[in-house]
Amino acid sequence: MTGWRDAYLCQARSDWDMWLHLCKVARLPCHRLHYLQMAVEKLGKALLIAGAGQSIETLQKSHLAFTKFLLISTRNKALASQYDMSAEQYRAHVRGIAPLAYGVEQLGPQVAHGGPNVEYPWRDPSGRICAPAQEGFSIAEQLGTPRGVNLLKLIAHMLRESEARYC
Amino acid sequence: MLERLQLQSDMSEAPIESVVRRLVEEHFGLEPLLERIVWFRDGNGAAAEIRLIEVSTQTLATGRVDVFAFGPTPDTPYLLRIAEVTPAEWDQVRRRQISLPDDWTLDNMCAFERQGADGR
Repeated sequence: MTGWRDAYLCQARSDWDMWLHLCKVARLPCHRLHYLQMAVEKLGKALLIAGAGQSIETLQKSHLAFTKFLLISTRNKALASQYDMSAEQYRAHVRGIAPLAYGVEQLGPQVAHGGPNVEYPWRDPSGRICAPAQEGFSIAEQLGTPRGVNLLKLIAHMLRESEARYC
Repeated sequence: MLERLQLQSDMSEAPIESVVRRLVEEHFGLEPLLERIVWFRDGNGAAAEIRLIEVSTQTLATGRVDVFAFGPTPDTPYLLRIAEVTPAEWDQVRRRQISLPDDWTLDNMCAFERQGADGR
């Protein structure tokens, strides 16, 4: 399945680069966040495919893989050392940013289950029909906090590491 | 790349069972919310990799066994394939309602509980 893994990594890189570009030029958070969510989803799937636990058809339908990987990565001392952290420090670091990673993954329409997402309109609990282009998405502001910056650095690092390891 | 990593591993210096027991101890120490770690022995006898499912009360439930691979290190000279599931998902795995990865079997596993971390 290395072809699938590498293709997902390639697309994750492309989506990530588009996220970086849109951070400079896009006015609406939904457009920026859409590419960030897609980059994270595809990186997570590439990591899942590298684990080779299931058929490609099952893996392609998976969601939340990046957050799951983050949580499991806390067992890996080699990853901790790449950050000059002890295993305990790395665990605390990841546990601190995992909820934000989960929030990014939940921006995808397949995970949002008819709720707020960055791609399609939805109906909120009051009955109002909402469009992504009209929403502020509080997570966009959270990504500017130290915790958000740490998450973005970690995503960039995982992407580089995966490319170095597999491509 | 995974194949290359496997070839780089020096399995003769670290019997796989002792490596697994050390990993189990480390992971229980690192993750207070881990209830159980299950080691799936390699069915083909080559002992090329370590396969673990870790059962945690605080992980994302996905309804699948999502496996991630970590390359060999000096401490763990085996490819490490690891998944984390909730206790409810583990029950479903045991009832065969959630599939295990290919070549992993419930018939050849060793479960470590948090208390004492004794293999059984």
